[in-house]
Amino acid sequence: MRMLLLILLLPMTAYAGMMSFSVSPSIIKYETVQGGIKAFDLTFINQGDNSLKADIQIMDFNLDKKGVPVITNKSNNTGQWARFVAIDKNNFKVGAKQSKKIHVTLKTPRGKPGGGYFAVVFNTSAPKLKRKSKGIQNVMTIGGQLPVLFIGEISRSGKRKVKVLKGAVNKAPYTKEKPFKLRFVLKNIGTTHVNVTGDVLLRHNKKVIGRLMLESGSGLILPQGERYFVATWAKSDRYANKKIQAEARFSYVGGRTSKKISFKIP
Amino acid sequence: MPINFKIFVWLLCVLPALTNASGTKSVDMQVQADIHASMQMQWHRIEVDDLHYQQMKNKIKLKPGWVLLPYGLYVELQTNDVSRIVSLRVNNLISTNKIDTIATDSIYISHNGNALVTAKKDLAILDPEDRGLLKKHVLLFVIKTNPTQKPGQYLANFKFVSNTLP
Amino acid sequence: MNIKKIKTLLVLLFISIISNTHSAIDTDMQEVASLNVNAVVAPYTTVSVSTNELSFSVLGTPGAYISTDVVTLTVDSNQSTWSAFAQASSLVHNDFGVADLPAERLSFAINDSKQFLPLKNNVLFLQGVIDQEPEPVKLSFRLTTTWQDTPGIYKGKVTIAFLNNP
Repeated sequence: MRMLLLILLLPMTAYAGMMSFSVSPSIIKYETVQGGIKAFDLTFINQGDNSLKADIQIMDFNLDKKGVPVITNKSNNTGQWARFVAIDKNNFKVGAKQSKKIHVTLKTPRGKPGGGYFAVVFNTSAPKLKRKSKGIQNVMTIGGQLPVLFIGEISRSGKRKVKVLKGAVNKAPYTKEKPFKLRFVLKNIGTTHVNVTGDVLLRHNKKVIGRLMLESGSGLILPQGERYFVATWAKSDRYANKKIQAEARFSYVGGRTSKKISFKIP
Repeated sequence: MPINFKIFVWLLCVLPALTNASGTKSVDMQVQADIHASMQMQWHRIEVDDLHYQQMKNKIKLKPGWVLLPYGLYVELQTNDVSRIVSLRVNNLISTNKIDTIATDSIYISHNGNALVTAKKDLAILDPEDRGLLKKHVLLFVIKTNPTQKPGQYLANFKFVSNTLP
Repeated sequence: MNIKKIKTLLVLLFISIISNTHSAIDTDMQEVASLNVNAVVAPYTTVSVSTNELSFSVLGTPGAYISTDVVTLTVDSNQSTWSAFAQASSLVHNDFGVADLPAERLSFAINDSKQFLPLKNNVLFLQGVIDQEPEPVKLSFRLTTTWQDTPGIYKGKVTIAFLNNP
């Protein structure tokens, strides 16, 4: 519908920009006690040549199946502690090559054993410029977002348990660019986070023909979360038309689990 | 006294002094370098007559009713962080009178001339494998028009979302 | 001879010895016994440094960072000439498997010089002579980082060695 005029990026103000910033640390893992107060310091560093404005929010934090953080609004969900967190400032301006400290305080809840998770999110933008005319309104704004992830646990109160939901192989044909892959999905059915590692044994006619490491970054799975574990097998062409049994074995602090699947290489 | 013996005796007397004279001393200074994670983003708007715009525009196949916006974004990104990913988030377009919106499910992004992807999800533009590399991106935007959309001027908001993989 | 005469002779002999000794001391200092005296002035080199720790805090984007730790070096030696050399080791990351920062990333400048010399091999930077009044020398150190360097703590050392030349 070409009648529709969408003028998004008007030649007005501030269409070239640079941002260079970092927050330290970017991930905080900690233990705490019920009813206790825990304090943390974060340093926001503006590494660029222009000043920056930052707005801070406390938000819920989960991981998707690939282990990428997913930040959502504060909620009352189990294991989400954003609602128990306070910060000493909600916004600030920081000049070029300067840094700012932010103080974060957690009042650990009572009666909620296990893990607790939240993110302190820094939303950055260039400070607003004074406009010469009020008529100039249509601008494109660009900002940055950088969360600091807090992964905590009430000491010795969490239950660690993981189960394998399913295992599958990718579809043929298999090439150098698209090799044979096995993928398993694990779910954390405990009450605290776990780091899982795994491998898969391949058998043909009850004889072990290979052992592959299952890749999943750090293997971190939050409670009720799921994560992919993937292995690539470069030698699948040697077993064309053969039936293969794969046994995936996983281990984590306090436990183990495994899953067997069978498949035929086309 | 044979000359060799004289020299031998002389050396015996002089050598300890020589050793002292050519002695070496050294001082060690312990060095510690603390390198922090760092990320740099640079962008500018590109217009229809920009070379990057033209190169990528030629790769886009538009369906009827789809409108390629006359502006795009050129972005450069670099990080030293081992587990950093950066995504582009496009928010709903909001009219300048703040009444009308064009939702992200009508917005599509062409990333470096690749096939159009929906702007409903964050578009990954930097992966951990890209660590240390200077990544360059040309982003063009396409609107899938429909009769409910009102003509006018709209405000666009983009956000570079940086995450560290835990 | 009777005892009286022997006693007289002995007394006279004794007096003679005493007077001769006294004469020897008083008059010609006749050599009775001699002592060899050796005074040894040992060669020395003293070195003092104001600090033996150098730190770099790389908070910003990769580049050249000058340490706030300035090393004041004073050398005093009674040798004929002496030379001072500087050398650095590569900086090793705390985590196993992370690439080191090679030694040539470290460089140093003397006093207020703007020219930084890389510390790749033994670098001769100062020489002195015997009559020279010891003068303190200020050394500034610079570390150059790149986007490919993994964040974290790196440790190494800089060695200042002194050689006295015979």
